[in-house]
Amino acid sequence: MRGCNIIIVLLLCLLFCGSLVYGEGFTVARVKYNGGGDWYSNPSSLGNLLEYISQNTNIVCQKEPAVVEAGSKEIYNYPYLYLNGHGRVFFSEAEAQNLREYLLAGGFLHCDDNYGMDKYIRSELKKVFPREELVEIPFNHPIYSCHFRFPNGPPKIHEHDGLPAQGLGVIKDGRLMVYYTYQSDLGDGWEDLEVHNDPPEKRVAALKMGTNIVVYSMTN
Amino acid sequence: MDVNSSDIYDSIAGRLGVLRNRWKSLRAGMNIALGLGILFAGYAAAALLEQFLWAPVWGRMMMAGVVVLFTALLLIKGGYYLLSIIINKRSPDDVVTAGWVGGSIPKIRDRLRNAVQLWREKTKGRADYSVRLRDEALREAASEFLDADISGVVSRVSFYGGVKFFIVSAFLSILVIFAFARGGAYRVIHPLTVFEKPLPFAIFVEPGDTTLVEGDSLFLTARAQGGSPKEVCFHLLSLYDGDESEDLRIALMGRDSTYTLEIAGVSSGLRYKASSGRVESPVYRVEVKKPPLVRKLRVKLIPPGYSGFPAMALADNVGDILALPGTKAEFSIEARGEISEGYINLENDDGGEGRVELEVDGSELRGGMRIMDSGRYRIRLRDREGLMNRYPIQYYIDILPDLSPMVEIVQPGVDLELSGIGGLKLLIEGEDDFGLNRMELYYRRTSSFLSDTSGEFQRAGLGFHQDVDGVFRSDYLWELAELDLIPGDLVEYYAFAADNDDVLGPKTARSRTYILRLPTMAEMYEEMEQAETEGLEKLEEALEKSREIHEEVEKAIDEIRRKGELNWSQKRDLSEKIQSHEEVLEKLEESKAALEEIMERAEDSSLLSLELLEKYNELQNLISEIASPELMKALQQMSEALEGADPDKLRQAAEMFQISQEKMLENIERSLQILKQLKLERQLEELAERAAEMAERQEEITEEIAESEADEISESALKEEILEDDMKDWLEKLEEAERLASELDSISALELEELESAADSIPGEMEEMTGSMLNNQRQSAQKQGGQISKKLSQLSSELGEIKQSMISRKKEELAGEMMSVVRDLVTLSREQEWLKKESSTLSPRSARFREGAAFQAGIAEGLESVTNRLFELSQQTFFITPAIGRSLGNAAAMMQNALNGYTARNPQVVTSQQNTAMKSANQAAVQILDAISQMQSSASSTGFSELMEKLQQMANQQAGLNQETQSMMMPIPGEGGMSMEQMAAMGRLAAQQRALQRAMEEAAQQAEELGGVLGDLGDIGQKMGEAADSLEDRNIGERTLKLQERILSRMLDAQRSVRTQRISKQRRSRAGRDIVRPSPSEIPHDELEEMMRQDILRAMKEGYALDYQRLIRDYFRALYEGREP
Repeated sequence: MRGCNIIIVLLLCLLFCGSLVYGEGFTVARVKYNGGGDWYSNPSSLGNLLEYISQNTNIVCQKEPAVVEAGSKEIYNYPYLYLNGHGRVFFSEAEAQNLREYLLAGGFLHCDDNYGMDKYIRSELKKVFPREELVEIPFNHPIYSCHFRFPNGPPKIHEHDGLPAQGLGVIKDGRLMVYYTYQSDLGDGWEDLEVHNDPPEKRVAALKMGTNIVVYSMTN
Repeated sequence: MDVNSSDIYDSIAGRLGVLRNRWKSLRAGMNIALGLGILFAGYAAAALLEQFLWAPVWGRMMMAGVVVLFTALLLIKGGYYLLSIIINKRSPDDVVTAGWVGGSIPKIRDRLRNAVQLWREKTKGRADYSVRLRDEALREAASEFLDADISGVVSRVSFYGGVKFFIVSAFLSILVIFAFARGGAYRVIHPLTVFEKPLPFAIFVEPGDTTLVEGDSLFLTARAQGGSPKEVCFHLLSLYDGDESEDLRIALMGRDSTYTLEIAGVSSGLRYKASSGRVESPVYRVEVKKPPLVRKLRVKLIPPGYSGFPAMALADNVGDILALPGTKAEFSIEARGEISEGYINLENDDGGEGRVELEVDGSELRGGMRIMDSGRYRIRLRDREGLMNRYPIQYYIDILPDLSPMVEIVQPGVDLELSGIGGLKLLIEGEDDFGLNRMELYYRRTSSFLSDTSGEFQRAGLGFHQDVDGVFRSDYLWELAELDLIPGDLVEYYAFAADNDDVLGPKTARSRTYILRLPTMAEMYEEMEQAETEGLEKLEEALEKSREIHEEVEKAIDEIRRKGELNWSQKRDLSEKIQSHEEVLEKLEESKAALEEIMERAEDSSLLSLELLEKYNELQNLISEIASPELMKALQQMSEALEGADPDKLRQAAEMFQISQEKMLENIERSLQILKQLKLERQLEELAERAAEMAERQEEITEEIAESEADEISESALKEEILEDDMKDWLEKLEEAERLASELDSISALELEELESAADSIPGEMEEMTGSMLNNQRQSAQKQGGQISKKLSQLSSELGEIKQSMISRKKEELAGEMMSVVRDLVTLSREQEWLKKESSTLSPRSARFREGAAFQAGIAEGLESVTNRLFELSQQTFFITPAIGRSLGNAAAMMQNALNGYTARNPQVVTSQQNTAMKSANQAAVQILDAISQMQSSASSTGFSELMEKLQQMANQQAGLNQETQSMMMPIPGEGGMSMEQMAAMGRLAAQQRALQRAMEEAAQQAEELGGVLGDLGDIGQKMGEAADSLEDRNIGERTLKLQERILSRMLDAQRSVRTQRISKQRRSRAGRDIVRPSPSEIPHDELEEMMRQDILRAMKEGYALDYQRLIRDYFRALYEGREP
């Protein structure tokens, strides 16, 4: 099993490198899930994040993200998966299994609550990792400092319930595999400026945190 | 011989002697002249030679010797001739002399010589000749000679030549002497003196000895006179004789045959000379004077007081200044040398100049200036010799701009529709680099229905403070009541801030202007109604879509049953229909979103009662549950089966899907019905509220009539007109409610109809009142106003009653129906029991199996009928929970199993299944009775708030229990056991915990029935049981305390306010405010401890009431104080 995982990781790396060489740069993938929730929300967010990463790191990114289904093997083509929405998320057993294997093999899933997804995603992540808990990530974790510094944890982009922004995660064998931003709404911060008219510093903070998450996903 | 001959001869000899002496004289003279001439000529020649040849000493000696020798020789010869004359030497002899005569006097010729010669012969005794002959010759010669003119006998030519030679020589030598008096002429006459040959040319150097100021350049120019060497070498020497070091610099010939050398930045004195080959200039001295300079500069900056910056000393010799305007700069300078004057030259960036004098004390200077503009400055020094410092450093002054502040209204931070005229909480944030002096709120009422009342902005001062993050914040509760707003009014407002710059004057900023609007109640309800309508539409669309899918799946199942499989096209169509299930889910989400909007608006405006809000919330949960996990699973299986090739699998998956789909359809229908009911309730509430609000407004208008001036009454009349319009709108709403009520509750519809009749006249009365006011009939208007407001209040109250009675009636009906269901269930259960008893006596071969099966089928049919009735009832209340449905479903399934048992002629199976069916039916009956009881005792028909209240009470009790338990921590062994009293107290605590456990288990079940909305309460009950066990065993320790703490935490955690979590999910895209907080702890190893801590933290974060927070903190603190560090 371990050998398989290693092979899968190597394949991931190869695919990733291949995508860089042949696919005009790095990209991320948006997870399309069932359940009725708006998996497609914040349409301009990931494109803007990719652009920001290109400009502020030495990662050459494509302009647009991909879309993958939770149960599809295509997810292995992307080291970073993004899942967001305002409503119900549902994973079938097969999809949960697929995600689990992907994450154990080195993949990374970023769940971002746009407000309303919280109760669903927590229970659905339990399907993916029944024995693991979502724990709050301490501020000295590398995800908060691997490229830009966030000494106070994830930035709070939009007001939800008046609670502080939290970064929660599933950690296995010391590796953060799933990162869940709650009461933060990074995706809104990545949107085109005119969508929410956020203060520029909020938008930049969101993009910077997104950069950190992507960089972390690629380097760990 | 005779005497005469001798005389003659003597005469001749005497004359010859004269001639001889004359010749000797001339010869002496000539020799002397020659000698002197040679001397002079020789001297001149030697001088000439010497002039050009620069003979050495021996050369000159030789030349002098030669000249002197020849001169001496000639002079000696001349002296000989003179001496010969003096000594009368007869030389040349007479013969020769006579020869001269004969030679010069032709007539004498040789006779005289012969004569003389003859004489001499005689005298010598030679007598070859006769005497006579001698004498005769002699006489003859004498006769000619003695009378002859002998002046020409001796030629003077030589003498004259000699003299000429002498004269010419002398002249030439005089010329030469004059020409070369300092040169060869001089050197020749000093043959022993060594003379250096003169140099071919001379070098003259400028500036010669000079004085420079340190740092100046030294320009040396050499000119060659008498020559043009290719290059000149400048020798730079130390000023000190003992120092032999030399620095050579070559300078090539330049223009005008000059040779130049520049030595830049001469810092110390030196000597120098120029040379070219043997030619050298003299050595010159260059003295260097040292001008004053700044040895050390210290600058101290004292910022203006408002900045709060401390004074700062720049590093030594750092003069560049970056400072705020108004900063005082103090200079302290150590200079080289004694200074007589010092000042600072200033240049501003805008071209202005200035000068700041410095106080001088020897070589130290002090001074200061206030910095107001950017620019540059240099320090100038003058020493006592008048020298200025060279190349003073230019320092820069940069002004640190005091930026304008920023201010923004963070909360609400958006244009807002007010829900009431109460206090509006504003959170204003300002930032400034150095501090704010004031923050103010500017506002004005801009419009109303009455007139455009845009006027001056009013101002309110804001208290503010600075937080640790440097941001200035003002929490201001703005009492909007002071603005005297009426519905429809707009208020513009913005925040203003001024910084504390007291140097250049405060800079100001203002925020964006926001607008508050006080919507009319009608508008607020209208918005809710729109959302409600949308919710209904979405549910209906979802229902329709679901039905389509249901039909399609039904067709597919039929097709598979008939033909055994589906063809490709059919599969594709079915697959597309299944995929479109996503649309159903989307519609459901949209309907939920619509309900969310209603709740948001209701929450904002407090227009709806808590009960109604709970119902909307419950409906939302119900809709959430429609797409159950079973349905999703069935959908997934259906999709997978469609992709597969197994028709049986497809059929099974389709059938499973149908079952789930049917349930979903039922739930959607149920939701629709409930929403309609809620809509009616909401409409009744709205009508009541609006009537009350209109009554208030009518009272205000009536009061205004008494107090207003003549010109103000028209304003009141306008308000009355607006009120009249609102009343007409209200009547329309009443009609709508009537129509809906006629569908759902006929009695309410009748009551509303009656109400409408009573209310119909009010608009007319309002119109009359308006007329009275305009006609200034105040009393009449006031009376009318009083009547109208009374009627409106009456309407409001009646509507409330109609709503309440509708709800009560509904509850009664429901309760009655549910009781009927219970009775039927009990009957069925009894029948089942009887059948069970009968069946228990059957043998496998008994013929009564068929009969029994028929009875069983009848009971099952009865159960189905009861279930259907219950389902219909469930559309009207939340109290009919899924648990009841499960119990009935279980009973039905057991009955089916029993039927199968009959078919299989297996009495054991039959009886056991019948037993279980009976129990399930009984359970369902009990559950329904519970539901009836809860519904009747609850103010709401959902039971949710009752559950919440129950949990709160239980949490209170648990908190108290925790404290008491802690106070009874087990005493340390050896220090005495527990007293009787303590044991009794512990027993009491155990009983309390046990009772709480039972209550929690009930609450858990109730919460489960309400859709699991409060999390897993069953787990809490279990933990309570463990704690109770420990207490009963009189064995409490830290584990028990931890357990109890966790219990309380979970209770508080689960006890989330519906408002804060569910109803108040206000989705606003507004920028969040970062909350600085400590980092979460490291991922813990002690999971239990961490979970407890997290729970407590979570509980505290959820914003619980202060007393709960205090309880939690106290408990936690007590817990930790008791622990080992």
